[in-house]
Amino acid sequence: MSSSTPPPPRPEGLLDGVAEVADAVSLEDAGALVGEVEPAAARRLGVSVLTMLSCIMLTYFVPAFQWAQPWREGEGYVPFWNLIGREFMGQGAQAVEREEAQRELEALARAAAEEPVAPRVRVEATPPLEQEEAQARYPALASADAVRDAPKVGVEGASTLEPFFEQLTLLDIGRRSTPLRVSHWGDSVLGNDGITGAIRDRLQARFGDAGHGFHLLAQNNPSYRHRGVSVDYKGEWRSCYVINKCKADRRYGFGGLTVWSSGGGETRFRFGEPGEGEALQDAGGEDRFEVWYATAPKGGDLRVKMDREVLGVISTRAETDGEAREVYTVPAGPHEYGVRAVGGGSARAFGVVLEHERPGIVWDGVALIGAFTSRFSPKYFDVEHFRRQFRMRGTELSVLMFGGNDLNGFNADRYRGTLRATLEMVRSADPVKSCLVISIIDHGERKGARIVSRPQVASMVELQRSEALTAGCAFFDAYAAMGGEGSMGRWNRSSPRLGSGDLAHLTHHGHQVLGELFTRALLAAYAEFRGERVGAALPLSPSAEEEAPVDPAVDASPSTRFDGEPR
Amino acid sequence: MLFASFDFLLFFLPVLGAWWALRRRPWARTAVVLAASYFFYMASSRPVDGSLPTPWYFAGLLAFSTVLDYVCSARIHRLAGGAEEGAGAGRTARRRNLWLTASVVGNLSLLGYFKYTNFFLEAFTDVANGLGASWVAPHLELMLPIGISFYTFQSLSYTIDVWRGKLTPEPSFLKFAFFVVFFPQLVAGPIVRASEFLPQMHVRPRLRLEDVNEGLFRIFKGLFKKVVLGDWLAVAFTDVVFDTPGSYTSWENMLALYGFTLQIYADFSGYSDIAIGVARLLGFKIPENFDRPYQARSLGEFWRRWHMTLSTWLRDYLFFPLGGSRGSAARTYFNLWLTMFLVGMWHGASWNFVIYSNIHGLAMLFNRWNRLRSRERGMLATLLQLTALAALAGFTMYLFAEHVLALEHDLAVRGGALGGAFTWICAAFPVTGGRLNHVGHVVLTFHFTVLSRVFFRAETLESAREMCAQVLRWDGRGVRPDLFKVQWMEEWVMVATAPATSLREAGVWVSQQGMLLLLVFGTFWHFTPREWVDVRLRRWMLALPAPVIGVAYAALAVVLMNLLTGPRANIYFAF
Repeated sequence: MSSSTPPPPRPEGLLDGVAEVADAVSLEDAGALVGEVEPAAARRLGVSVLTMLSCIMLTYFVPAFQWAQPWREGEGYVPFWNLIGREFMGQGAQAVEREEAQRELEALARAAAEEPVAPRVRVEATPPLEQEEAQARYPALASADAVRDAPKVGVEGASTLEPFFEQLTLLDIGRRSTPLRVSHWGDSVLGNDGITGAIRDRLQARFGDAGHGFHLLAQNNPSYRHRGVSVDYKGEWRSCYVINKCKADRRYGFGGLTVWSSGGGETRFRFGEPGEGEALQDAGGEDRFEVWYATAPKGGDLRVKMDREVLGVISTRAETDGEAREVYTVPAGPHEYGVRAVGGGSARAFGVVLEHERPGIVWDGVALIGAFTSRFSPKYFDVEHFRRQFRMRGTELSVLMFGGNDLNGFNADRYRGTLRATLEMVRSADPVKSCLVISIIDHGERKGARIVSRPQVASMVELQRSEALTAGCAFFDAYAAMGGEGSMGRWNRSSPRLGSGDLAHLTHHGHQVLGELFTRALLAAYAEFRGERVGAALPLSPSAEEEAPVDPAVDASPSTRFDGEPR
Repeated sequence: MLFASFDFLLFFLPVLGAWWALRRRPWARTAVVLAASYFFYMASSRPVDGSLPTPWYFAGLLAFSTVLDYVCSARIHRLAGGAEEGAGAGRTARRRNLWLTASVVGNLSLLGYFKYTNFFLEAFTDVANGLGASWVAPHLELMLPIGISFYTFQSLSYTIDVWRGKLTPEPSFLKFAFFVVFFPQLVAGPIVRASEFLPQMHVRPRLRLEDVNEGLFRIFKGLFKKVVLGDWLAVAFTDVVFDTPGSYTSWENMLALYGFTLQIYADFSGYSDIAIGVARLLGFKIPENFDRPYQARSLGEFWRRWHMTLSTWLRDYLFFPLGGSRGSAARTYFNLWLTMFLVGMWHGASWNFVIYSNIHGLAMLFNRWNRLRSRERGMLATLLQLTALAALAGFTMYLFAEHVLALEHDLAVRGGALGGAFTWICAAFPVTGGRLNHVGHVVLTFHFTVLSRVFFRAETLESAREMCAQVLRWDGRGVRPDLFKVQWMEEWVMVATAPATSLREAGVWVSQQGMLLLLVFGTFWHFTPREWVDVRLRRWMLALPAPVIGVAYAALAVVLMNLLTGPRANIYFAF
């Protein structure tokens, strides 16, 4: 009978069956518990193990096989190291010290990741100083604004930042009515707007949010993305990126990439974190949207839209090759902007700028992903063109962070020349403005059981320091701030992870931590500046024109005010 | 200590030798391996510039858990007779329950404190902030004791089985302690139940040729899976993308998800293979933990084949006691969801795991509903029903993407649409059919597990969000040329081959596509019929003479040593 009964179907899933009833298990010894080893089993296991051990021993006796030794004396590692103690390896105090540094770092990372940056404040400007008020003095820095945690690594050569700090002071005390702009160029270390975004958040929380800043019209790399900016690249732009040396006129614009199209190329932007735009709209005021383009005798047209309504059509046609920008002033709010080539010739453009028309900080993140330092130098750029772009931007502080790609095949003499040329190009664009060099971050490589710094890193940092200071720029040692030798390994192993698996970049948390360390250093230098200046005469507040310079050579029509009517 | 390390070799060979050398002295051999297990637990492997030595209180917690369960179970058993009859039966039963509660609370409190406290604080603060408060969650500097999630469940199974009357208590404390800390499965499973392991302590241990063969094969296979398909793929590819997903294209992110799906399987099942092999050389059989899970036709089947000792533990000690699927439909669905939610949350304490747990919990509900739903309706009614379900799933996905992940609106809409379409396809796919039908089910289940891994692997919700956005954005940019390159292999090819030869070209191509080829190979391996590896490959390896096996192990050790700069912990160590 049982043979005719089909077996119950096997439950398909984990929780499809019912509980099985099993007999109780009794734990009693089944006779003497004397073990037994089958001779064949012992032989097979024994011979296998002995052969393997012989092979291992061979590596210690035959020099040709030394590379295969599983353990070598002097490699800083002893089996079961943590039970026999690091002191045995001469690492006791060092290890404790490193562990403490690591804990500090992780606490900072968690704080940076979890504690929200204070809401961005709006600084209401007071009118510029009148002539009779010109004797106004520097006030002391409010204690609430003083730097609470002194940074372990500060800004070197901070005296060169005085022009910037003067403007920062005016902004801080409400005597500057327009944005204070900082432009930060770098290689892939600035990818995803990570470090620049972290610095921007912090400084805007402290001094006011004046907008996002410069943005390219096409990506130079998938990592070229800006936080708080949603971009939709539609249609076909043709583009040329400076690292490819693809434009004979070497005019790559402020961001190192130029695009052109005879029609159809289009890029749409939406600025601001979710909800932020609405808050700005509620607060009133105006935004400023700029389109940066090249003029040419056969230049085509660019149509600019806001919220799907046409703001205007820019003709890039001109008698001579040059560059210009169109400025639109619009009611503040969460707008979507679009720039599209609409024919009439080939329209060439460099990027857009979005700012809020009010006092605050703008921190441009200009990532030239994959660029060697030389790509940001006269060798690749038309210096005059760069100078015009630089002045058009009205940057008060230039920040450079290159070098990661130069580590491969690093040659100190050659790199010194390259860096010098880069710094000269930036300094000559406007010698009065401040500049600052941030060193490369640590780059690691795996060696034995450890992740160590690549041997060129320390030399490059030293070289960057000396060249920056010689060129009259300030210097921030990001390598030292990370912890110096071997820090990428520690950042990579920390929790949350700060260093990326490629040992050359940082993670999101790492960006936050380095952004925090840099901001602390910058604010500490600023606090010191303010302390030294208490009672000294304040500089005159810049006029609106000085703050947002209009260059007849580049501003075809100085400003287009959007009155709400479609054009 | 990590299995794939030189330290383990130095540790294991003497322990193995001592165990069999003391075969005539049961007490001595048990004591030696017990002590060795504590040594294994406390010893770290490379790298040395990582964290400081394992705190000694970790061993204390392990000992505490051992004593607690031993004492509680003994008390429960002693009260067992009195609970069945007599006037004081009720009181005795309550006392038994009290001892059980002491064991459960004691074990789970330790687990909860070390593993979930920070998350509870964070979650409480997040919820409060969502309601208008403005708090910052305190963060306690807690170190999760290694293996606590494993040994807690292991020792709890003992107490619960004694309480249920399915197991008599172990008379020897030494043997019980041995069971709790037996080193092959101590830190990352498989979770061995007392009723499976303790009886093996009461029979004479035997080392047969079959055990040696099986042990050597499983260790070899496990090492290869763990280090080559697990660790190497992680170091050279998946970790790099997961660290900064925003820097990589949509395709690269997708490939990283496939890579991680293979990596985590190879990592954990490889570890389990080694544990099973090592135990076998000591004469013990511990349960299987994986059964080619990505070949599953449904999610329910997937969880029957993935980390089997955890999922069946929760099934037997939670799902069935809750009533399993014997109650009302609503109750069954609740039991299903709760069990799957806890399976998910066992893996980690973060919002990511809350999401991961719920995705799998809800998918299991769908799985059951879809399997049992009436298929007698007309085509139009079925179409309407499935479309309504897909719309609901899609809308839920959209809300999740828009409000939880805070993706851009367009991406959230796209995510919702894809979620709805996926649900529709799963629901409309015929339950039975031929080979193609089988392949279809496997592909759908596999991709569900691949996509949900975003929340399993990403370190933070922000990182998961970034990866989801990159995949949904689908930028069509392809893969950068050097992403899969194995640098040292290319350098070696350049040195070892003559210029301008086809051999060099082939070698360079292989080294440039190295990690992709490894990913394809590993995935292919997983989808091969079980017989290919577990029978034929095994038979082939076991036919080799012992010296050849010894040389093969030495060669594997050299490869492993040079592939990575140091052993990597098993992913499940962190759980």
